[in-house]
Amino acid sequence: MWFVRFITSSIGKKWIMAVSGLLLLFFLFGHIAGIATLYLGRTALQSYAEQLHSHMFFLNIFRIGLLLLCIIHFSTGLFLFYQNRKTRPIPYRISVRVATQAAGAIPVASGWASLPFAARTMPYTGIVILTFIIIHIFGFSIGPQDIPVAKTVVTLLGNPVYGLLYIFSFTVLAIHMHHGIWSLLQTLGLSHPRYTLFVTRMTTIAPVFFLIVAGGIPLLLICGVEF
Amino acid sequence: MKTINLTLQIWRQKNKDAPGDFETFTLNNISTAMSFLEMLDLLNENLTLQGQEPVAFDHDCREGVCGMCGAMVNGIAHGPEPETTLCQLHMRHFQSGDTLVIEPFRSRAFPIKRDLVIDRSALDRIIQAGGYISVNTGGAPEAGTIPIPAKTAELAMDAAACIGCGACVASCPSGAAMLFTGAKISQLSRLPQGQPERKERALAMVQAMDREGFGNCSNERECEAVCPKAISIRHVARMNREYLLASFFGE
Amino acid sequence: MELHAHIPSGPLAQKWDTHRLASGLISPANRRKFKIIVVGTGLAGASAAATLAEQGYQVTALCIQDSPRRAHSISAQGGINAAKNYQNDGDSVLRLFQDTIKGGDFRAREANVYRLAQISNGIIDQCVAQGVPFAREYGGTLANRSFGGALVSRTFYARGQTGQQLLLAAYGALSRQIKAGRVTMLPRREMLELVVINGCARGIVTRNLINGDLENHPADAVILATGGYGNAYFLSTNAMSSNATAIMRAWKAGAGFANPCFVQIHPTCIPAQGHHQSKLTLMSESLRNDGRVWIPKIFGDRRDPAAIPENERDYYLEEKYPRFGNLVPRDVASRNAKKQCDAGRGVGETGMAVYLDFCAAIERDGEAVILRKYGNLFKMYEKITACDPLQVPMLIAPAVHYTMGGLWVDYNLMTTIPGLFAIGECNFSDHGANRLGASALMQGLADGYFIIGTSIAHYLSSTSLDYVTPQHVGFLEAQKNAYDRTQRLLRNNSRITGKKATVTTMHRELGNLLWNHCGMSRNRAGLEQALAKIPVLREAFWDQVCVPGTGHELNQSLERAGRVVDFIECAGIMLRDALAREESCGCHLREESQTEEQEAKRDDDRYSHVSVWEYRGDEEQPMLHKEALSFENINPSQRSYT
Ligand SMILES: Cc1cc2nc3c(=O)[nH]c(=O)nc-3n(C[C@H](O)[C@H](O)[C@H](O)COP(=O)(O)OP(=O)(O)OC[C@H]3O[C@@H](n4cnc5c(N)ncnc54)[C@H](O)[C@@H]3O)c2cc1C
Ligand code: HEM
Ligand code: FES
Repeated sequence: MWFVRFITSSIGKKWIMAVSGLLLLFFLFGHIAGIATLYLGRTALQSYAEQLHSHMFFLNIFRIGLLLLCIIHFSTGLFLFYQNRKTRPIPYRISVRVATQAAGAIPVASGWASLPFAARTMPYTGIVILTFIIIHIFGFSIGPQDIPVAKTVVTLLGNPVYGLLYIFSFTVLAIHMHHGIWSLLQTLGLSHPRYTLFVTRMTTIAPVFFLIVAGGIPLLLICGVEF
Repeated sequence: MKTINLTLQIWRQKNKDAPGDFETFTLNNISTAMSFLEMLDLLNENLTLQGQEPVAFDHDCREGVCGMCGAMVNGIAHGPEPETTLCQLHMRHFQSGDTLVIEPFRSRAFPIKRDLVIDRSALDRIIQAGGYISVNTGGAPEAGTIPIPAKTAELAMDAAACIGCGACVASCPSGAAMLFTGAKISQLSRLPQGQPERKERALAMVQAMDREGFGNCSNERECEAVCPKAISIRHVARMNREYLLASFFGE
Repeated sequence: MELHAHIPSGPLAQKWDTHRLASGLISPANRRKFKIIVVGTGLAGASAAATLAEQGYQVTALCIQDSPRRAHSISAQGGINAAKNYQNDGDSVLRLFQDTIKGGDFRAREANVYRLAQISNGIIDQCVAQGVPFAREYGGTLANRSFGGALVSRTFYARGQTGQQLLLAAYGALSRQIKAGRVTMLPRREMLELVVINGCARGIVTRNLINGDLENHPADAVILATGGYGNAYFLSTNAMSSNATAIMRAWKAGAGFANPCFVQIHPTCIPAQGHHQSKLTLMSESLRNDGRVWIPKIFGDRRDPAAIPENERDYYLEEKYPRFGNLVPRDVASRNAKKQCDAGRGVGETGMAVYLDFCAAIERDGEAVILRKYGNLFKMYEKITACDPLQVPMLIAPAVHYTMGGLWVDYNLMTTIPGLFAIGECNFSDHGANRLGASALMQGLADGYFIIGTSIAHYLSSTSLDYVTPQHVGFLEAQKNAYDRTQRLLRNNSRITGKKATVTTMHRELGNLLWNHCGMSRNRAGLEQALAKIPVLREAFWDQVCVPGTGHELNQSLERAGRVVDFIECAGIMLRDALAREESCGCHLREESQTEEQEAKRDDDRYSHVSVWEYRGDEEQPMLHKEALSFENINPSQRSYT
């Protein structure tokens, strides 16, 4: 079947990464927008959470979808990583990343891209994110049901250890997204000189924005700000 | 004339199946006006006179256009100069006393034939899958009837400049051949002559590329950084687009 | 040896049509019964192999490189001619014909050249259809430039990589046939023997360059497309593997070698940087449009060029040829440069170069204009020499570039051995004693795409051939010869010899000999002296050259040794031919044949012929045959540039 042939091809697998990554990005955007209500006060977050939980059916479908998405993205990513490693059975004695050296300056041919550091560490940043997601799910979603969500959030994120872990994970996520956004556009074939500058800015602005919004919460909590 | 002395660590391997290892040579009195291959010539002359077997390496035009030469020099395909093939790299870019590690282009799809000589026929098979316009000799319309905007011709030419040396594969952390394949697909997809077979071409060439055991691009851009012809990974994006469109909307 | 050119009768413009009508055909269903070998995958070979396979023949193609895409044709820069007259500047088939005949100094066949001019337009159509990204005007039409002093703009080009683009298109066509299973492509093979059975070419023996196997390939016809032998001079602009082996093998098997001494020397190459130099790089001739050639007036003046004042510079071309100045034809420019260098007046580290100065042009037009015109050439020059031509004058020197001579072929491109065809640069071709710029690509593709098909069909339909197997005694003998030669090349490896030499030293020595005595300017004494040295050199080669390794593996020293042996042999015939041609013509000045102004003097009464050399055994001297040339449609005129 054409679709099977497609998704088993190299570009097809890349496409899976790109599409699942893009959907995860959309989720993240929504999720952070939700959490950001905490900036408006604890009650705002609480009512958002209650709103959400009143549509349990849809929420569960959404959760399953999200889980599938994560599994697909994660397993395809790992599979690609494994496949790519096999393409060079004897490694080089010396291997220099040339794109790394050109970092900072705008690379010659393509106009721009992401930081080579981010590109190189995709599988590793990915694994960090996955670990965090698991911890995160145990902390919040499967967390204590009788305590109001807003309280759990404030308690957990106010905890310096957990809070710093949260900030660290979001930094890693930002790095992952920095390359991810550019990479997914490239994978989907969306590349045009006219929009290069715009895309370039977005690959940095969007992750940093997420980082500030999401990382700001534990940071403020740790610093003792009350919501 | 300025000369330098170098230590060379070169990969030696008798044939495809033999194990290989590095051998160290010291080479003195290398004129800085020499090309890298002329430096290897000098080494080989010395080895021959000493009754040893010279280092095998591929080369032909020595002008940077045939794509026959190529090796990793201190971890960089075609050496440290940008937009330069090994044959066009000159020894004045090295300092006396340097140690150069010279390795063949490595990829599962490029078996080593001897020393620095590799088999790149996988790239030929990708082209055979569809890297052309199917027109029999004699079946062509008058050339003037196919107008092509100057800019389009230039963009097609950018992609067509590929010399098929394999440096993109050799330097790709994922062992992909997407720059090579993308350049050809991109060239032909831009030109009006390439339209009739556009979809089949993208499908067939990507399939051939996968069959050869190349890796999956992870957009790290090492390929375009070492490409002696500065071919942009925009052509990879273009290939992705062509392939997606062909997969979803092709017959 | 009998030379029947088989030129069709009738008016010039109808000859090709007449000929095609008279030629035999093979029915499409029967074509697959015939096996054809194409040796070489340059423009000529790749186009021929693809075209014959499209027509339905079973084709086997071979090349030395690891891929057919890497043949020497890939490095052609300038462009390809055609009589399209897109520029409306008065071009026509007749004019291209005339220019080519005149350019060749009336040493080519009228009928062949006219056919070439006729076919030229179809080549452009074909290449455009294949997707060659030729340069375009803003309106989308094809762009042209004038090239090599032509008065019309008829040259099509793709940046400075025309050869590459044309070859990649032909390689594409070939790849399509490989995929279709109609071409068996054997890369990394070198033809070592031609097999002739019952007087007809019936196959070849090759060496597999990876494992050293000698392989027999029987066929019904053999097409050689192995390129030129300019590397006999050691330093040339040719690719490193360009060789004379196939030509010499065919010659020894009975094919005539025509005009071996006709070699083109290009005036604008980057000079050798020293003893280590392995090949030379060509710079486009267009540089002479704006550059001024000069040397210091004072003998041995070693000052920095910038420090030499205007009145101490000798603009020798402008002085000697006020009408053409720096734009004199290739041979005149080359010859004068070498003359100055030989007189010890050259510049550069080796004293073997002259200045090409853009100072005046930069002053006149500004740097920007000059950079727009020559930017990438300057970049290329700087990459190789580390000098910026905007700051210091370029150093240029003449270099061997193209061999007009080659295997003699009739109008069908068949050699004197039935069933053996030669196309592209390896035949003696349509360029007479000098080739116009951008005409080699045209000829190679004309031969491969449009001519050889007719010839093959005609030959196969008019000849009855027995079935031969790879075990035929003809093949076994040929294979034994190849094996013996290989063993002989390797014998010094295990022998204790007094003096040891490498293949390269011998090759360089041969090159110097040819360059000094059989270059742009020749004389009897020099040629005789060089000819006498050939046996000495051959002897020294067999005595001293060590070829490490064995014959059963990838052995690049062995490959080169085999080629150099053939170059030595080839040089002998070149010198003989040069000696016999006591006239100046085309690229060459024969010092005994000059006008009062010391310019080339052609001698039509005695030398209006093609010189064809026949091999008569290693101990015998080769024999000279002559194919008389007649000019009915154009009047032979003397060139004059003063
Ligand atoms: C630097 C340079 C620039 C040039 N620029 C132009 C230009 O702008 N315009 C123009 O018209 N011409 C130009 N020329 C000339 C032109 O490129 C050549 O004449 C032409 O390409 C020759 O093509 P070919 O097919 O005959 O042979 P080649 O391209 O030389 O191919 C020879 C083939 O034969 C194979 N071969 C050789 N010997 C053997 C053997 N023994 N066994 C098996 N295979 C063998 C080789 O592997 C190769 O595949 C240029 C030449 C040079 C050197
Ligand atoms: C919310 C979490 C995540 C988001 C928003 C996200 C987003 C993205 C995006 C947009 C891409 C680019 C796809 C492309 O190359 O076209 C990507 C690539 C990748 N992701 Fe994620 N991702 C997330 C989590 C993960 C996790 C948990 C892993 C676990 C391993 C992971 C591993 C990878 C890898 C390895 C790639 C690179 C694939 C390649 O280029 O070959 N990601 N991600
Ligand atoms: S030898 Fe041809 S590209 Fe280097």
